[in-house]
Amino acid sequence: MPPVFLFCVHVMKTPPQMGWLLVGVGSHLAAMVVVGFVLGYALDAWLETRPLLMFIFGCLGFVGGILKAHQMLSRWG
Amino acid sequence: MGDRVLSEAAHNSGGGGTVEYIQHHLTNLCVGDCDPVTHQASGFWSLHLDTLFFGYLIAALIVFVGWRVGSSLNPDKPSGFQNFVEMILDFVSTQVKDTFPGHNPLIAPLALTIFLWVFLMNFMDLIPVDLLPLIASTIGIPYLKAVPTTDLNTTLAMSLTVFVLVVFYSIKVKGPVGYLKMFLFHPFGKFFVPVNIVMTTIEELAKPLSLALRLFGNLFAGELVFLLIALIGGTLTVGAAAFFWFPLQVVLDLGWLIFHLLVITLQAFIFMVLTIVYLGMAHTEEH
Repeated sequence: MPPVFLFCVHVMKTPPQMGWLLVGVGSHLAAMVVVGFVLGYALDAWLETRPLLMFIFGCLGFVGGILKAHQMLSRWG
Repeated sequence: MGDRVLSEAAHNSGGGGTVEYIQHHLTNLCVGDCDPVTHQASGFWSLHLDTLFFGYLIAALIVFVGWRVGSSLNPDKPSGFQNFVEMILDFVSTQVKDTFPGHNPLIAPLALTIFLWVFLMNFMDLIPVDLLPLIASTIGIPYLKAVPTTDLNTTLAMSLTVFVLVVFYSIKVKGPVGYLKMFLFHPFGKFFVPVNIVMTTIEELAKPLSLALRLFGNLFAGELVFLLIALIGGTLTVGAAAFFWFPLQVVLDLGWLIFHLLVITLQAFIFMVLTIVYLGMAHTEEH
């Protein structure tokens, strides 16, 4: 058994539960922007309104991501 | 394999060998709708055989070892391996108890499966980068990417499964009306319903995407660093210079390997914990 693995297990044995969500704050923010743009792009292609919805959804994704990050950091940070 | 690819590439062009080496090692064995030149998937019905093979092989290994340990349990005098398995079980069980509100018999086995499967798939990254492609090339397989988690299909498949479970339990616990209310009135209240719908949809879809991208990104980058370190020996060891480059490669490889051992464990752990947390959020009334 690799000692590093044992060390990891030892370190992780007492986590601050929901605090683990903070690990994902950065990637969640990035993912929200990406999802916003992709959703907007897909809807634009469907409704033929390019680039309106892509822009709006991208902005909403960014705003939502910042809000969510702030919310998580202030609650568990 | 690496040497052959390198020499071929060096023969064709001046400095393209390293790029070809890296591209070759990062190309999956694709069957079905695949591009004949780049070997990348070009349609829906394309399968990455190597990803599927190693993924299922590892899953079968977990099932087999679990069955062997389960059939030879000794409560009075546990063997070393039984102790090890019990330690992992205890560890996962503690995590679930600490993080998950309420009771659901599905969560702990799910978390354990995710942890072990992701960890072992990540662990394939520590096998020397040229070894498996070399063996594969001797039996006529041109491309082989041994680490399933460096394929976005694997990580997205797992995170989408988690996402489906989250949606299922959200609807089950909150009721269809409660689930719809979350979309309508969160996060800006009842006066911004259209904005709320868009934002909550984005937020929910971002969860599986970030889960998948985090694992994929970490492992893909790790694999790339291993390839770059392998290239130190592959391209630069000529004659007496080998006395300098070879020890450097060994030291760098060992250093990255030890660090990467931490990364793969941590990534498997994070995937597991976030799965529990997301499912836990689906089981609570407040969002």
